[in-house]
Amino acid sequence: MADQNKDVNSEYATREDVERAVDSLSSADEMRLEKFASYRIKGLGRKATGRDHEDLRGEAIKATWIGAGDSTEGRRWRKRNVTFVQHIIGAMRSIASHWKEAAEDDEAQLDSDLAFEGIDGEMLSPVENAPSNAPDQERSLSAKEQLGAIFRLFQNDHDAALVIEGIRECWSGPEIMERLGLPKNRYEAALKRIRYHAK
Amino acid sequence: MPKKNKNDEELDLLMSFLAESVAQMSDDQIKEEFGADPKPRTKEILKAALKDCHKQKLREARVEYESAAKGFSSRSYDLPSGEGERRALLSSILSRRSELRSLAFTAQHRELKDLSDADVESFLRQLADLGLLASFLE
Repeated sequence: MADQNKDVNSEYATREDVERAVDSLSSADEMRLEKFASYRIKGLGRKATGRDHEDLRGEAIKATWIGAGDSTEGRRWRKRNVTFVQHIIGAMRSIASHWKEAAEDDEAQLDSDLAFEGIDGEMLSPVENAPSNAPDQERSLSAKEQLGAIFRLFQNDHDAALVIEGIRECWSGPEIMERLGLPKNRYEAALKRIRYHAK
Repeated sequence: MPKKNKNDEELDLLMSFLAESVAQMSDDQIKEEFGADPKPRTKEILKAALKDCHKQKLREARVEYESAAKGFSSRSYDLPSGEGERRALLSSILSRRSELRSLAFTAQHRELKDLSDADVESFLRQLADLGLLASFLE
């Protein structure tokens, strides 16, 4: 019975596996995880409720460590199926979504408590246009301001503007290239410029 | 439920797309594009978080231990009141249940006379917790 359990569990990482994986992260993977977390936090804006990209990486590894010691809690890393970096990225993706949902639930509650009727009878929401809670340089910029700044930057960059339009249409990378007739090299160069200015 | 803010959603959509594009870049592309940025602190951040996890585990173990120790010390045991009587009781138990000797004695304490009075009392309490003492007290 014990051997059977061992076979079943061997697909999952132990806490020692997790700690070894952290120790052996390459510099490229360190950058990848940092940039991934940073863009996700920028996307959350005020819905990050004061958390930053370090918090996102920290939560992902804590959940992984807990999952490695307890099959009922945390996030289990299937070390045979995905790399450690893929696992942490998946964990950050999921945690960011949860933070967003939780912030929306809180806003819904606040909204129902604080909404008031305007002059024309329309219900006004004090929450919707609240300033960002994001830390440091992100704090003062609302989503509207950030988007406006990005659109202005690329108003004379035809390819980048097209890529942004494709993203707003929820198209994938290959769909953007195909539907907008953008060759791969021009698509990738435009995406690189967007990433650079959105950092 | 308020309607979702269009700007919030668009910003999230755009930034999530950029995040996913980073996830798919090769190591060489990552180094070329972000190599000039400040050195990433990912390893440091992850290690600090793991250290927190270890500390939390230690805190939980300490709370559990203190709770068990409190229960142990506050529980009443029907043991003989005198130290000599307790030692005699343990001697009697060990002579009748020789398999318990290995539990009572370590390599350093091979004989009953080597055990302190506190050790004798502690071992009798453990036997009581295991339900092994009652029959000897009857």
